[in-house]
Amino acid sequence: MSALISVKNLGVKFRTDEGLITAIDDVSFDIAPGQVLGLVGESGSGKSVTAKALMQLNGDNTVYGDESRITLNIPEEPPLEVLSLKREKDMRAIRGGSISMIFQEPMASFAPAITVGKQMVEQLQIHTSLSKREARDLSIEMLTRVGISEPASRFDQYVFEFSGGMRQRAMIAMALSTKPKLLIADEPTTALDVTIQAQVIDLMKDLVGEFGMGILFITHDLGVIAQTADEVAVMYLGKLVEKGPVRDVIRNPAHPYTRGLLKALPQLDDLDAPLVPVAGDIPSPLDRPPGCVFHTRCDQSMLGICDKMVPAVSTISDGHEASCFALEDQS
Amino acid sequence: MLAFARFAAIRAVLALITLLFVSLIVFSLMEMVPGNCAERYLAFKNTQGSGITIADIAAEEARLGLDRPFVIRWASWVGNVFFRGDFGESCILRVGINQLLGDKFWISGAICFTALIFAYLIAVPVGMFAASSKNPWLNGTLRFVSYLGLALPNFLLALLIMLFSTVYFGDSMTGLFSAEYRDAPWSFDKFLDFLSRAWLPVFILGWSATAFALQTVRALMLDENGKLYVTAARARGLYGSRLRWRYPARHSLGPIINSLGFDLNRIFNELPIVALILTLTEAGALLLEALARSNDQQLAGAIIFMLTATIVGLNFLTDMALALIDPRVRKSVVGS
Repeated sequence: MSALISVKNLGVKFRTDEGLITAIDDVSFDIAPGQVLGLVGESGSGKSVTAKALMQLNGDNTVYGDESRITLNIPEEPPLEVLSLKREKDMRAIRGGSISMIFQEPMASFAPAITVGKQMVEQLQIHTSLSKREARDLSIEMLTRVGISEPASRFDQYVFEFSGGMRQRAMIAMALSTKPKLLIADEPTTALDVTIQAQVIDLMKDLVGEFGMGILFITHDLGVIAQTADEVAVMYLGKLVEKGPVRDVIRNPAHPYTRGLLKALPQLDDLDAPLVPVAGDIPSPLDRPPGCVFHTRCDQSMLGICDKMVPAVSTISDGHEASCFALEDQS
Repeated sequence: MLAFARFAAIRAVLALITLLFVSLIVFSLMEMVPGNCAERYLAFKNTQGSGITIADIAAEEARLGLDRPFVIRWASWVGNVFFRGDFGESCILRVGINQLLGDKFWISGAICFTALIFAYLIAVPVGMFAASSKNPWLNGTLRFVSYLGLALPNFLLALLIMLFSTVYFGDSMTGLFSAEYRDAPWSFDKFLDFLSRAWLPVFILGWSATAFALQTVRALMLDENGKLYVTAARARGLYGSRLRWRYPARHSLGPIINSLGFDLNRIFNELPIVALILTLTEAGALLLEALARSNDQQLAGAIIFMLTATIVGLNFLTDMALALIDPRVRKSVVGS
C-alpha cells in the first residue's frame, strides 16, 4: 500500500536579518492511511515547522530546499506535489480539505468574535457543496459526535464561552467535519489537564479508526505517544534522529537522545527514582552545531567524529532506524 | 435589547459622574489661579484710572457671590452649566461666556470632527490593505507620506500653504470667512464661504491625524495577522480578501474604535497652533488667549469643560459601538 503522504528530504530554512536559519534538515517520513505517526521532540526542535510545511503554512520568509518533496496520494486521485503549489488559491483543496490541522491552543485557534458554528460552516462551504442548512446540520452532528452537550445552542456560541476541553473537542469536530485524509494534531492535548487529555486522546483514536485517516501526532510527551501512535519519529534540532514502530523505539531506543528522553520520564514502578534530564539546552538555531547536531549534549560523543561528520542512517530492525556513529561501529 | 438599554443607561450615568468630577477639577483649577474675579475686575478697572479700596473688593465679592463657600460656588456653577447650559460671565469683559464663545466652539468641534472622520475614512481601509500587501512601492510610499505627516509640524505646513497661496493666488487663506461674510449672520452663502476656507485647517490637522491613524491601523492589523486564529483560518482553506476582511480586519476594529477618543483630543490640542497661524477665530485660539493673555479663567474653564465633555461623550459612543461589534463585551453586558 502506498503512503498517504510521503515526505522526502524536507529542508526548511527561514530568511531572517541574521541570515538563513536552518529549521528542518533532510527529514523523510511516510504516513499510511489509518496510521498514526508520532513526532516527538523538545520545544524548538522543528515539529511544528514540519507540520506546517505539509500545508505550506509557514511564513513568507520560508525557503524550502530544492530536494524537498511532499507528495500527497489520495486514493483515486493523481499524486499531488504540495510544494509545487505556488498560489494560496491552489492550496485551498489541501488546507482543511484533504488535510486538517488541530492546534495546541484551541482558544487561540478560533477567531474570538465569530461564533464557533459560523467558522465550522465556513470551512464546510469552502470544501463541500453543502448548503448552509446542511452544513449547519452536519456541524451540529459533529459537535454531538465529539461529546459536546446541547450542540445546537453551543453552535451559536463564541469560543470564550466554551471550557478548555470543550474547545479542543470543537476544534476536532471542525477539523474532521470535511473528512480529511490526513489529520495533523500539533500538541492537541498539551494545553489540557490530564483527565481531559485522556478523553481527547480516546476521542481522536475512535474517530480515526472510524474515518480511516492518517494522523501526524506532534507532542513532546513520550507517554502520550506510547498510547496513541503506531510509529514514532524523534526529532532534534530539525533532524530525525530515530524512527520506527512505537514499541521497538520505546523498548529498545537506539539513539542516545531517545534514551535520554525516556530516562527523563517518571518511572511508575519506582517513584523515588530521580528524573534524569537530558543535559544542557537545545542550541539556538543560529548556532547550529556542525557534524551530528546532538553531539554537544551527547554523553557518548566521540571527539573528531561526531563534531565533524554527519552520521548516516543505520537500520536497527525492520522499520527501525537511527542516525548515530555509535550504531555504525556496531554494524 | 432591554439589557442593552440598561447598559447604555449605566454608561450614561457613569459618563455624567465623570463629567461632574471633571467640573470639580476644572472649577478648582479656575479658583486656584491667584486673585478672584472681583479683584481681577477691579484691578482691570484700576488700570483704566479709577482707584480701588478693600471695601470695593468686598462689595464686589458679595455682589458676585464669591463670599459663599467653595462647594456652594461649585454647585451653582455646575448647576447652571448642566441645567441651563450657562457658563456664567467673563470676569474681565463682563459679558456672558456663552455670548463670548458664540458658535466658535461648534466651529472648532466641526473642524476637529471633520479632520477625525477624514483621517479614519482614509486610514482604516488603506492601513488594512497596506498591512496585508507585500508591494514594497505601496508600503514605501505610504510610510513616506505618513512619516512626513507625523514629522512635519502643523504650523510649518500651514505657513507653507499660506506662502504658496499668497504667491500664486494672492489670498493668504487666513481666517474662516471672507471679509464680506465675517460679521454676517449664518446663511447658505456664508456656509459655502466657510467651507471654502475651512478645508485648509481640516486638511492640515487631517494629514497628521491620518498619518497617526494609518500607523495605528497598520500596526493593529499586523498584530492580528500574526495571531494563531488567522493561521488556523488559513489551515481551513481561507485566503485572500475573504480571509483578510473576515478575520484580522474584523478583529482589529475594536482597538481602532477605542483610539478615536484619544485622537480627537490630540487633534483639538493641535488646533490652537494652526488656528493662531491661520488667524481663525475659534475656541482653541480663544482658549489660548484666555489662558495666556487675558487671564480669563471663566472663559478658559468653560472651553476646557466643553472639550472634556465632548471627549467623554465620544467615549460613551465608542463604548456603545464596541458593545455592538465585540461579542465578548456584548455578552458580558447583555448575558448570553
